[in-house]
Amino acid sequence: MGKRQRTVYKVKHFSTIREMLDMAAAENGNDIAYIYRDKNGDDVSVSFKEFRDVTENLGAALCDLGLGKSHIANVSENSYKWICVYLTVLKTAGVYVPIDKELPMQDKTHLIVDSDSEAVFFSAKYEDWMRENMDKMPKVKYFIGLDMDEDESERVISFKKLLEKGKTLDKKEYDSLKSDPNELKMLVYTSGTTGMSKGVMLSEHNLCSSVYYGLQVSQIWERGLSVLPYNHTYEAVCDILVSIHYRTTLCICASLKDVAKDLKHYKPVYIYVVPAFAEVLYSKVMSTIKKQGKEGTVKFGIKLTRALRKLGIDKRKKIFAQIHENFGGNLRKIVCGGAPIRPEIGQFFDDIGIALIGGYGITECSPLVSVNDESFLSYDTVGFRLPCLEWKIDKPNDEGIGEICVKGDVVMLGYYNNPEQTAQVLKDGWFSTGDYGYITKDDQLVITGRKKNLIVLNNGKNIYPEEIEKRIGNIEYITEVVVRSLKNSRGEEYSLMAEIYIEDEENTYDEDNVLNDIQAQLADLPDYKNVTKVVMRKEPFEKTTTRKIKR
Amino acid sequence: MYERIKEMLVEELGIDANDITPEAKLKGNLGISSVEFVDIAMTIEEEYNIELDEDKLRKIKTVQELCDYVESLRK
Repeated sequence: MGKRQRTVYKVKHFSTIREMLDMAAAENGNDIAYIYRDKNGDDVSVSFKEFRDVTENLGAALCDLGLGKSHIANVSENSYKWICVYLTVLKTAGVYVPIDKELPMQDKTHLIVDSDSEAVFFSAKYEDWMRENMDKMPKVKYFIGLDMDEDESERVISFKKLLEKGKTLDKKEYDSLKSDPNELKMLVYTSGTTGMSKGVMLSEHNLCSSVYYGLQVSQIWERGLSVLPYNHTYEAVCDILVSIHYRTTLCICASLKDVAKDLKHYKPVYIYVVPAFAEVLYSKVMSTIKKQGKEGTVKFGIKLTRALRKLGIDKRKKIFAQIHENFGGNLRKIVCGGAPIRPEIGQFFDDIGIALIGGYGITECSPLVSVNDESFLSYDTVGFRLPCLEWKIDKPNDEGIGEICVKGDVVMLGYYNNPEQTAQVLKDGWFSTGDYGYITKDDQLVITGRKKNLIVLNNGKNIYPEEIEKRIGNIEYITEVVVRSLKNSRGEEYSLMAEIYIEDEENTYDEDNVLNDIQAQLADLPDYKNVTKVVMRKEPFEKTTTRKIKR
Repeated sequence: MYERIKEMLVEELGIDANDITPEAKLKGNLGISSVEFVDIAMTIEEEYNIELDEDKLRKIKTVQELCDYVESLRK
């Protein structure tokens, strides 16, 4: 079998985020860029031109405050305002610092300080955090309340007032701001092995390359629904920036639990999710089919449509019209990232006429490394690489499996203020991902394993067990601990368990009490890092020659 | 209410019915992940035609607390 060819889509070139947005405003100014719900639950539409104008007004106001070259952080939930702040800051000569709003208070504060942020945008939900920790962030000149109607003080000001002021200001200074394309533009924090986050430094060139080359290998359409947290590059780059360049209308879903409603309401053509959520969508469909007693009908429908497709006839949308209605009627693509897709789920969606597309990304690569496309659907591989990068397998074994290394325009600049950790992963432009796999003869990537000890939950969250073990080790009576994942019946990692050894001759500890103590110890961590099961060992763990516990 | 919520947890998430008690912690004891919690929230909203508040949902720890919250919205 010869080398399979993939589709390469034509994309208009651009060099800066400002240029990208200006092009959208000039060429599709009246087209709708965003739809979101206001406080009353009514839809609000914003055109590309209107959106660009908002960034100009906000940008002028930021310059007026002396923030044209500053690091600016954002602690707020997914919203249209989040996107306004994001694009405005990307167009300055400064740096955007999206903060995970789910982090414990002290971690948020730590990242604001670590990132050298001079301004922080925050929403009403995080006002308490802001007030309790302002003094711990002395470098921050301005806290800007996204939901505040009035300025409160010189340091705590209203986003609304800022925008109003910006409308009256000259835009020359803001429009003259330029960044070196290869200097830091966005600082994104990811998990570290010891629990301390690493700041991934992405340049404007990284971001533009991710959009430009990503669109060459994977297609989107005129309407999408955004759901996943914006502070991750998966949404921030692959969805938000890409949708601007493609001139997509991005509908903003404020909460995961509203996805089913919003799919019917907004009728998107594509959506970005993580495998755990694809499973939820799948289980909802199957549950409905079962309740309606239509399992036999659906099975027959799949047989029929498969046979017709072999003849070049596609009747999936018609035969499964009712299922499509549950997804709004227009959905043709579900992009799935963060963790592996279960092939059965992918096959089911393909059978009913919705492509479930997987890919591979890592924040340090802006984030997209490779992606499948409808024209070339596969559940065994993570697709074709972006044309701007090279990949190789380091130290392959007899089966060709080794560490995946990537080089090219999307690879990060390094870790912020951390040359030692940067040097560990970046050598001569090659980034060592820590993931393991092999490259097929079609130049597609197959992932076979992951970073040593890293747990990847089915919701896409990465957990270094060492971080959790260190915390549990602080419990006085616990002698040794190993944290592992719990797997569900489908083999997916969904939660954590702790295997404990207590040197206790009197045998006074039971699993329930130990679990309670562990959960109390981890109480300030995000929920997904919680341990939900304890197993007690009678003997100490086996050790290596260097006295490390053998996992 | 408790029996119906219990049924949902069994049917939607495949949790062993014997593990479910009113005092059982949804995440701590039943190991329900945040995405699975969303799944149950969606099912509850659809079944009872109510809107669950995300902030209030975050604070719910046990099966009984979930039942009480849903019941309060139905009144």
